[in-house]
Amino acid sequence: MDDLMPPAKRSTPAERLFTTKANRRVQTPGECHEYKKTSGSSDGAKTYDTTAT
Amino acid sequence: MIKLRLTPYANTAWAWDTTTGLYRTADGQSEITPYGHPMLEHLGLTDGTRTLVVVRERTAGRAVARPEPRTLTAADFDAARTTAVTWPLDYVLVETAPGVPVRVTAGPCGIAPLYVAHDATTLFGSWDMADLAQHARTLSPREVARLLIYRPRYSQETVFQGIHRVTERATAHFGGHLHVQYPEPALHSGPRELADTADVLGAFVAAMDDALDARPLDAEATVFHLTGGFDSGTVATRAAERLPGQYATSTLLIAGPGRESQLRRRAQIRDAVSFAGTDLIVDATETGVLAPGCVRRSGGRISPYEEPLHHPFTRMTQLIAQHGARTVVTGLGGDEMVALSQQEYPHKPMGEISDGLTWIGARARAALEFADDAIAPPARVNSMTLLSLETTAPVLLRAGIWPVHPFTDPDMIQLGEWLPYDWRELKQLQRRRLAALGLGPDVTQSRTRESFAEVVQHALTTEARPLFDAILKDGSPLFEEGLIDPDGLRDGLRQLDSGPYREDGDAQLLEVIDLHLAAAAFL
Repeated sequence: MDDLMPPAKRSTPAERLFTTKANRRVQTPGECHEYKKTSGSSDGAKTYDTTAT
Repeated sequence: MIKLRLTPYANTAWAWDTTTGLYRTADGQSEITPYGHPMLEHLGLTDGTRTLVVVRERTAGRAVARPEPRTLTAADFDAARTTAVTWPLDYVLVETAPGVPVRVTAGPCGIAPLYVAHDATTLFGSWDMADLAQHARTLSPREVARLLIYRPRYSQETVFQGIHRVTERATAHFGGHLHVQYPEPALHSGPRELADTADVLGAFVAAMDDALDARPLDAEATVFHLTGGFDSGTVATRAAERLPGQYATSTLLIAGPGRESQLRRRAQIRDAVSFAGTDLIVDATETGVLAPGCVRRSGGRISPYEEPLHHPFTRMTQLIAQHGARTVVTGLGGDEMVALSQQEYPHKPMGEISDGLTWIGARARAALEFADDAIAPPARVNSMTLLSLETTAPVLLRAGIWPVHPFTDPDMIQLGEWLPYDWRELKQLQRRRLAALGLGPDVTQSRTRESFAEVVQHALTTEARPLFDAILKDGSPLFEEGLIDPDGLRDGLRQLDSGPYREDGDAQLLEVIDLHLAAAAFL
């Protein structure tokens, strides 16, 4: 049954970077589906990836 | 990662067939075919009545699980089922028992799609929508509308009524009828304040290392996408930094003013660390998106969710497979990791329907009112990222290649959400990481746009142009269903022909072609 068990959970070293707490919430459909490419890319301009051309 | 045929209310005594590499019931009415790959494993559990088959990604540092079904007590079986969904990588669970519906549950990573369809007695499933073509009944107005206006929504709905997507962590129940049950919403957080001594780049590198180490990568059989962009660039350079001289790279070459910049910047990125000598390149201007003879144009059953740049991407994947690679590592998800919110940077959302898309039919326009109905709840991975994984996977899996996407690792996503604005703005995280490797402003602060926009423009104005004429002459299921207006399409094509080319307004014609070709092939 050992191979059914997941590996040991990794620590989260990123937690140490921050001084404020994380508030977890439910995203809106717009937030989940917002296409992020136009908000900043390699050249700072609109760059298309293969999901929207 | 799975193909299946499940018949509830029939025999549920499963056995593993080593010769054919599949699980089958004693009466042959149900079969489960795990995708055969060194990065995947499968195992079967039964308590003599209930059976659970798990197909999952392997975790690094463990031997491959034995596939033969093993018998447990009922209590141990329950414990195993509870544990199965805590697996940190991707998986698919199949559950059967006498006298009850079958259940198929997708894991949280969305690496390979799982489409399902059914007839009166049997549930069929596959990562390749073509396997379910006979079940495609007609077009879904709402889903077609979403795609036409470039405002996709991650949901169980596909463009074909009769074919469903089992979204991440969803469970398909089939017995009498099919019901796809969505999971609870995954929760997300926002920016936090950094400590004065915070080593953000160190945390980014550690997160990339963890993401790369989670799976048993075989360096000799792994190729990294290296497009010249920041996302594939940061992942590939970190991998090469850790294991110099081992990893081959690949890319599609773009067209237009950005091409020289892509070539030059890629060369600098490759020189900054030590990659293997092999660099597999396909020129998207030579292997065109809709070149005559490509699978889409030849009537191949290619789902409209697959790569818009299907032909050159398939050619590149073939080169990768011929090189001997079984795994490809991408930068997908990198944009979403560091995206700014609407509150931080108000911007026009994608897919705002405008008068510019003159070809949208009346029935599609009417369906848009309901575009946000019945969609999947928030996932751990951004929904647009999940859809981009879906475009990539079938092409890779057909070539025997399993994809790895480090930017979709939960800790990478979480780090990105927590970073303050100045680390995410214009992808400063990735830019600063590449600068820390010694790469100069030509790579990290380029002012030249690198994009497939010119490749798409060429496809629409040359290769695809005769296709539009054929569609208008011969008809399309999209016309018949009122989803595309032929007169509006003629207006759009007049605009395309007269120019100047508009990326907002003309480029969206590509979806018309892809949807038409898919509808013609599947229906």
